[in-house]
Amino acid sequence: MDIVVEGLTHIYNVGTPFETVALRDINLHITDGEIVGIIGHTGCGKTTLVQHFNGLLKATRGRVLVDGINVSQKGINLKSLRQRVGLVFQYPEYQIFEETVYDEVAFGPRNIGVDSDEVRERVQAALAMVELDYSEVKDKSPFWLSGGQRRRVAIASVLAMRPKVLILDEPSAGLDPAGREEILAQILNLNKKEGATVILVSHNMEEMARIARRLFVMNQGRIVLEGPPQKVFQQVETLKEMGLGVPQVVELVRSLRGHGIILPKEVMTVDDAKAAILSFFKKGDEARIKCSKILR
Amino acid sequence: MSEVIRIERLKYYYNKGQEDEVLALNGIDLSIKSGEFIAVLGHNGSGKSTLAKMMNGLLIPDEGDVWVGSMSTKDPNYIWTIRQKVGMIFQNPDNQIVAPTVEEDVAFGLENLGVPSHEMRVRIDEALHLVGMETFKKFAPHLLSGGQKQRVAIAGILAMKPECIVLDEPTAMLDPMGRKTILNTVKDLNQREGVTTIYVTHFMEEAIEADRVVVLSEGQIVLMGKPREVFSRVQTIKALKLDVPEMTELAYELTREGLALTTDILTVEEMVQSLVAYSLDG
Repeated sequence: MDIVVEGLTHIYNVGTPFETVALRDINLHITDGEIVGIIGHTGCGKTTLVQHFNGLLKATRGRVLVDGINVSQKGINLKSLRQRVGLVFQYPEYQIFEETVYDEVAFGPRNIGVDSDEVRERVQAALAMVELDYSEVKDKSPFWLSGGQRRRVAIASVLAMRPKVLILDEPSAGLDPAGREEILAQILNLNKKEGATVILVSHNMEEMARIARRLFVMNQGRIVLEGPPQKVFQQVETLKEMGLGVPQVVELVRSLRGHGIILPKEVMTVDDAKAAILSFFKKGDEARIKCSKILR
Repeated sequence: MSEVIRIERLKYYYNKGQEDEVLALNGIDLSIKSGEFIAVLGHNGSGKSTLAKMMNGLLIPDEGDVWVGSMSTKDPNYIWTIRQKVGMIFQNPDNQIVAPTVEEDVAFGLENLGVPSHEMRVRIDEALHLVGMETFKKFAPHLLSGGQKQRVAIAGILAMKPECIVLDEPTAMLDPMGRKTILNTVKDLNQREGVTTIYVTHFMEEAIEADRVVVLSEGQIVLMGKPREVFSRVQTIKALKLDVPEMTELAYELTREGLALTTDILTVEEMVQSLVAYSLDG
């Protein structure tokens, strides 16, 4: 299910003194099964953009096509759109309201008239996807779970709608490192196993370097950079001007270059860096050994 | 150096005496010196926030004591003096702002203390200056970014002239820029104004700025020391479901592969130096 955005402009409070242009002439194409990342500082329009993908906001100008259907036009079936495009908000655990984990995850499917056998099936599958033990948590109150577990329940409740496109706004914010790792692993898994298109909004550059295949960088309502993370993170100055950072490993690679330690520019993660540094020094050693043999 | 807070054999239970009783803090001993910058780390549910709330009497020990100067938080007569001495900043900036303009928000605590209005003016301007928000004093808080709101919240605490600030994941909801400004503001206040700082965080890159790191797990202090000492124990830290800073991890991995680097590397600069030295020695 592709998402195509053409000339999208969004203006909040049109015609009032508070009129604000949040998106300016956005064009993008996300293909079925991709994992893309959207980065940009607070207020750049990231959240406004993704809220167009499931019809929460309507384009002021331009259009948004989800699976070929213009979702900004009047009379669109929003219910069916939102089943296919699931949006996990920031801090989704604050939106939990049911008394048991089962009811929380079942809420969406029940609401669209799924019969009770299938509801159970979906709840089991959704909890399994976020690696929560169904029999252990189903009757518990979500409020008795840890922060990371609550976040997973909230994500499961979106997964239970079986979306084809999953949008996650800062899914790992506020979690401890172990919790962050788990959520990221599950997102990757979902993409691989279910073939879901994943759109990730995050401030965490290390995270983006590891999981996004393509990045969109937004600034003041526009997309200013686009491409694979390896390319985008080369634009260190541009990113810093926009108040964004690059992964520490990218800074390391740049800095080492100035000292004659040349690693490939695509190196972005700790694992990459480890391999690249080892191979650099190994080659260096081989050259040195050769050299000393010749000298001898 | 004099002691600002002393915690002795502290235990705390949630839902004490009930079926779902949880032991959140299990025998904490900690002494915090005047002017120190302490980072508190631990996985979700390790007791970090509970410990933070103990420091100004938002929670009262079930066993043991928390002393602020010579005052015990258990003594209700001292509670307001303690809260003036030890200010708290929470994660969500939107939950901490109460007034229609920035300066009125900073004034709120002072009004409650009954500070005379001319002195209030001086303290508000000073506090906003310290956090670099003086040009925004007439602004409505909702027009500010998360990082700016968090700085206003800090100014509100500073105006009360506290000895100590406790910040509970103050940057969790901020973007990288906001995170940097808050950390810099806090470091500045600590170094220049000598405000004792207790900083709870999940970001290891922030914790390396502290004088001392305290790591909690299951309600107990399991590691404590200078950031360099604590983070060099990579395996212990990982077993506690925490991360080490990226560069520390890289140094550890490279050392395991036989590259003779120092393992107490914390920052990109240190990594560069170490690799350059290695390539020259080689």
